[in-house]
Amino acid sequence: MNDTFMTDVLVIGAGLAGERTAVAAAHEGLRVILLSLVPARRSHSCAAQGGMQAALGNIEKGKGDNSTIHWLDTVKGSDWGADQEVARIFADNAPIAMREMAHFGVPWNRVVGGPQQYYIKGKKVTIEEDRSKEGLITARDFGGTAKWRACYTADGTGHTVLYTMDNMVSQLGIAVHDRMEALALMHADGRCRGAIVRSLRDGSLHTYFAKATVIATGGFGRIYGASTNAVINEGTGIALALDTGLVPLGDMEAVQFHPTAIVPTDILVTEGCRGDGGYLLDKNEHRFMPDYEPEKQELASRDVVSRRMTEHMKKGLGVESPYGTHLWLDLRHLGKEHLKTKLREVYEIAMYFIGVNPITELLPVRPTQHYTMGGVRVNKDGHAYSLMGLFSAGEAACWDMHGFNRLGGNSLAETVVAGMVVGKRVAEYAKKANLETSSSLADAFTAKVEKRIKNLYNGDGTESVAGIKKKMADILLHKVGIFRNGNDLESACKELKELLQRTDKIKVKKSVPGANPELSAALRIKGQVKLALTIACGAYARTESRGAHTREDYPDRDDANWLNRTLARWPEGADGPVFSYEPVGIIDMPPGERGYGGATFIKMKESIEDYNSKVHKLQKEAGRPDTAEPIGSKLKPGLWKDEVK
Amino acid sequence: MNNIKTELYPQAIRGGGKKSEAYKKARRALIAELISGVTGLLLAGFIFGHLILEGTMLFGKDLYEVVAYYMEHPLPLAQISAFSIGILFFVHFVYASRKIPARLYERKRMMEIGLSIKKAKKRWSQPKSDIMLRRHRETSLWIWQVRTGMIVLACGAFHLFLVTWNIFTDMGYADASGLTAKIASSRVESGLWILYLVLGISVVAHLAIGLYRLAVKWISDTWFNRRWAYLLCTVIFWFYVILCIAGVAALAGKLTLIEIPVGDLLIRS
Amino acid sequence: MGRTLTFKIFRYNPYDDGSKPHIQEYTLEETPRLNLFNALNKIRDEQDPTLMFDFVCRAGICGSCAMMINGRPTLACRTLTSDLPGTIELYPLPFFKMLGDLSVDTGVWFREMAQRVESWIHAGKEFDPNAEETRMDNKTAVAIYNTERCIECGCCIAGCATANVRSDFMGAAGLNRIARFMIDPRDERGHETWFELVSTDEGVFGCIGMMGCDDVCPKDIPLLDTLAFIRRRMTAGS
Ligand SMILES: Cc1cc2nc3c(=O)[nH]c(=O)nc-3n(C[C@H](O)[C@H](O)[C@H](O)COP(=O)(O)OP(=O)(O)OC[C@H]3O[C@@H](n4cnc5c(N)ncnc54)[C@H](O)[C@@H]3O)c2cc1C
Ligand code: HEM
Ligand code: HEM
Ligand code: SF4
Ligand code: F3S
Ligand code: FES
Repeated sequence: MNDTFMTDVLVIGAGLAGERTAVAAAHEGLRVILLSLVPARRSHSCAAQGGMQAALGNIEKGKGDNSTIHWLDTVKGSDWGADQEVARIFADNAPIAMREMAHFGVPWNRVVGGPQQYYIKGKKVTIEEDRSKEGLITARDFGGTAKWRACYTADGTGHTVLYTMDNMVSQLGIAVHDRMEALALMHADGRCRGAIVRSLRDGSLHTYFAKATVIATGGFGRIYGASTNAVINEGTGIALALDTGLVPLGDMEAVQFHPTAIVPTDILVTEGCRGDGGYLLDKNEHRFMPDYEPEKQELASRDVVSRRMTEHMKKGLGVESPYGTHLWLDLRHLGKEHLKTKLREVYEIAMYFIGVNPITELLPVRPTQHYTMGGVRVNKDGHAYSLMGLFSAGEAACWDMHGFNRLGGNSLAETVVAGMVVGKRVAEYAKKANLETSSSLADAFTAKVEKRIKNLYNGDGTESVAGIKKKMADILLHKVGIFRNGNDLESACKELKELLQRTDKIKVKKSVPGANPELSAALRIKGQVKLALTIACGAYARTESRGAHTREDYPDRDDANWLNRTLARWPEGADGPVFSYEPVGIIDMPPGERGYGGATFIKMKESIEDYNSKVHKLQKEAGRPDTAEPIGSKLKPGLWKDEVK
Repeated sequence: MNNIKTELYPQAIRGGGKKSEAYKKARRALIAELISGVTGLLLAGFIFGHLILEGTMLFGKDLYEVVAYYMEHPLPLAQISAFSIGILFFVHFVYASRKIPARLYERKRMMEIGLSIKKAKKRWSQPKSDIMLRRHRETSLWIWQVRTGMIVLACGAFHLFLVTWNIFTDMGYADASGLTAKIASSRVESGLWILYLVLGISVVAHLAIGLYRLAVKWISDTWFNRRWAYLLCTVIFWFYVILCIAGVAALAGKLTLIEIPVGDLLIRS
Repeated sequence: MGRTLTFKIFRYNPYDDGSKPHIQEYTLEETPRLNLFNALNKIRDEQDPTLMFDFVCRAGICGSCAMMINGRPTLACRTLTSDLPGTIELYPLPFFKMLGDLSVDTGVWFREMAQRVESWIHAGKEFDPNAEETRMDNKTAVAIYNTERCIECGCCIAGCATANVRSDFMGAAGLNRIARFMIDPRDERGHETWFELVSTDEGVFGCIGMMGCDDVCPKDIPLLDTLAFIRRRMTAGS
């Protein structure tokens, strides 16, 4: 029943990032095994609809686009929290990645020459598309970008890209072990040796030895309870890294909220609703956004709208429902025609999921957790800090091109670019490393997991998983949500610590053979509370507002003190996360105005040169493994100046 | 980055003149499908004509006699078609029934699925939205196609045998050999009407479902869509069922719509 | 509203020797806009922690949650209880390997199908990172996307009487997958390859036109059209 697998590369997570990494490693002739909680194609990457950013510049509104402009948008979007070199690697490789996906089989929508009609800022415009570009990959508009650059396949971008990637996995004969959950990383002497994995079919435990292990387990939005994420995005993979006691998580306090997810199902309805003229109403059916933002109204940036909506609901003007407070999205005035054509997806989601007809009824919406910028801290090769042989890519990683706020369409693109870049490095590493299998190591880690299972079955506690989960979600949502302040965060940390104690008192009520869903959930919960603590305590410590991290008591971005990245470790036996900070990376474009959002900032005291000169040393102290190429070598210093008008 | 190695998909680079075993197998499957479809279609065409011609009894014996006469003069049409239809009938039976699951439990399982989905419609209350549950009846229809096929096989074979014997011999009716109103009527009256009714309704049901299926299987994405196919086949079904029942009644001498006096035209004395 | 719903749920744990397939009843107060995702989770959280079912995206896009809902194979996450009578019968999808209660193994079947139909672009050409992408007509791209929209939920297999009695049948989803590559100009597989793959009794000629697939597909993929297209393509080419 307990099998041992040996492989060159073990990839935990079969979403886009994991599969792209696996494909890259398999191309180099390595043996690869992919693990996934669910069949690979059900991974959350399939749910992304909008598109992925790459500066191809084929379409008229993207003319003149290049990777430097993309880089610029990304760094500004991150509120200068990103590693600018990584953003460079990303922006430079994104067009190649998109073309490669086309080669692999993604049916990207293509440019159609001649006059085409678009809706721009609510107005119908006709633009003459260049006929010489006909048949090349087209793009659509996304927030926070200077050009139209999001490549797409209708509204199923994530779906087609993931399916195509999974086809590649099939073609290369990569083993995919689905319904398998990694429960612990095996490591000794500062090296990661593989993982202990539990089957979600029959509950058996297995050992996977690997030369290199990759965490590509996606985001952890589900710890917020209400999230646009899939229910499997619980952060179990990231918690594995934290549990090693060695590997730090980066920027965990950076959590993105999207203004319009429908209630109660928290399914995302696109920004296009408001783009096309939809309103937000409160319980009195009053249109409140103009009161807060007379200029931009509903069309202020994502974080601003989310903040305003939350503020309004806190005033008691939200609509009460069995599923909590919400606001209304009014699309009725757009008319049947528009809703059934341009916003068809929204129409169908509303009809199917909540039985609301947006032509005649109001849609219940509220801001909802959407994306996690933080994750396993890795260097630019994707190699995790402080543990050799462990890599990470995708939403699970803090590769750090998103800093404190990611741009729409950048995360899907990140998964394939990171998979491509990191996959190659993983292969290089695995080729040099030798497979060290040791049954005593396997036994020791298996015993630990078995003990956890036994404790859950035999414990004398009375706590239930569902209860703790709900409590955790409540704390996060209300105290570590869109707006944060010292008092709330302090009490959140305290309550979460108490909650962490309570996880030891969980008792699984029914012992049944097989995977036992209750046990599976119980095994995950502790890691989730730990992640919640890294978010809450990290946010409490960071006394500034940057990107998605908004402190009411510290409304300014503080480049004098906080132009750095939070690293959270959880040493063995500790009762809370331990924080340290490292420079964000070599800075090419100095921090300045984002050009939107209207926030103020405190200037750096140091010169850029001084800051940069310390990066290498400080990051190394923070645990960064050596990179294949020297730090900063991929930057193209000063190039951005040509693009700033 | 290196590309995928082509050895991974040996199938793609096949070529050359000699067809593989797999290719031959595939061609056999295609031919079998075409045979069952085309024979079904031809049989359907025959039945369309046949029932109309039998239906002439509704307009009186005289007309029927005329038609019957021309079936055998100057060319022995009836004899030719009896022979060819017999073959078609047999070939169709052989090729079409390869799709019928051999085991009873399999047929039961099919019926179960069909019924389950069909009944589901009633077991969902009407959604208020216009995104409606669509109907489902085709699986059960298929089962009925098999059942009626069986009936047609039994009754039709018997009938074919009877008629074939009749048109080649005098069958004990001293005054005639071949098709006449009298013989037909006497046969029907003497109790064969039950057989004809069962056979008629079965064959029409079988053929209507069969045509619907053929349309959907081969041309559903062209100008012809499924809804139209269904409508057309329903019309065909009801038209022929009524015609058939009326025809049997007429043959039994119980029903005549209008008498068309074509006696003068009668060449046969 | 305000109904009390009765759930009759098929229970069976194949890993438990003592478990026999049976129907278990649960009751739940209906709340406005309750869907089966929330309802089943509520039952599991509050009444029976051992109940097994699969949800991932809970938004109708990942295909995990297909089950027989009052006799019809469809996605549970986007089924509202208000569209159902007070008694709701839930069975796992037939045909697929049973993993426990309402959970079945669609993933392995679909992966095997992908291997069987070699569900990837067969092209000899190498990818050139410096070259412009090969051009494609947008109409072709849209047509490919229309077949690629399949979310592998398995409803069309569960609702197909043929598949239910013949485990080697590719099913509408398998045939649809083949069509996706047939119409893709990047795929260099010739007619002969397709013919061998699809013109068989496990392939398109195993389908006897039950039309269940088309009727239950939650993504409204025009499966019948696809099947007709394949039949004609196979006939015309040979
Ligand atoms: C509704 C929605 C819409 C979005 N739209 C867009 C968009 O338009 N554009 C854009 O750029 N981005 C979008 N995003 C973001 C983007 O989809 C994700 O960031 C991205 O898909 C993450 O990919 P991934 O490969 O890192 O992880 P995932 O696709 O989430 O994959 C994670 C994998 O890890 C596995 N796994 C997890 N834990 C374990 C474990 N313990 N053991 C084994 N396996 C495990 C899972 O089974 C899964 O296979 C959207 C996100 C949401 C929620
Ligand atoms: C070429 C072969 C055939 C000939 C010559 C033929 C001839 C006849 C004749 C003469 C009758 C009148 C009744 C009688 O005489 O007993 C009749 C009736 C009928 N035949 Fe045939 N038949 C042929 C094939 C078939 C086949 C293959 C079927 C169906 C499977 C069929 C179905 C019927 C039916 C249903 C009737 C009743 C007519 C009515 O309801 O109007 N026949 N046929
Ligand atoms: C005069 C008599 C008959 C007529 C007009 C007729 C007509 C048809 C037609 C038009 C079809 C559709 C073909 C297809 O879907 O490919 C069909 C299918 C079929 N027929 Fe007949 N048929 C006759 C007799 C029979 C008999 C005697 C049997 C014996 C069992 C039979 C069994 C079937 C079956 C099982 C099918 C389904 C085949 C499939 O779907 O591929 N039929 N028939
Ligand atoms: S074709 Fe439709 S029913 Fe079949 S698996 Fe795909 S989405 Fe589901
Ligand atoms: S239900 Fe089955 S038999 Fe054919 S038309 Fe659909 S695959
Ligand atoms: S849970 Fe993804 S389709 Fe229902």
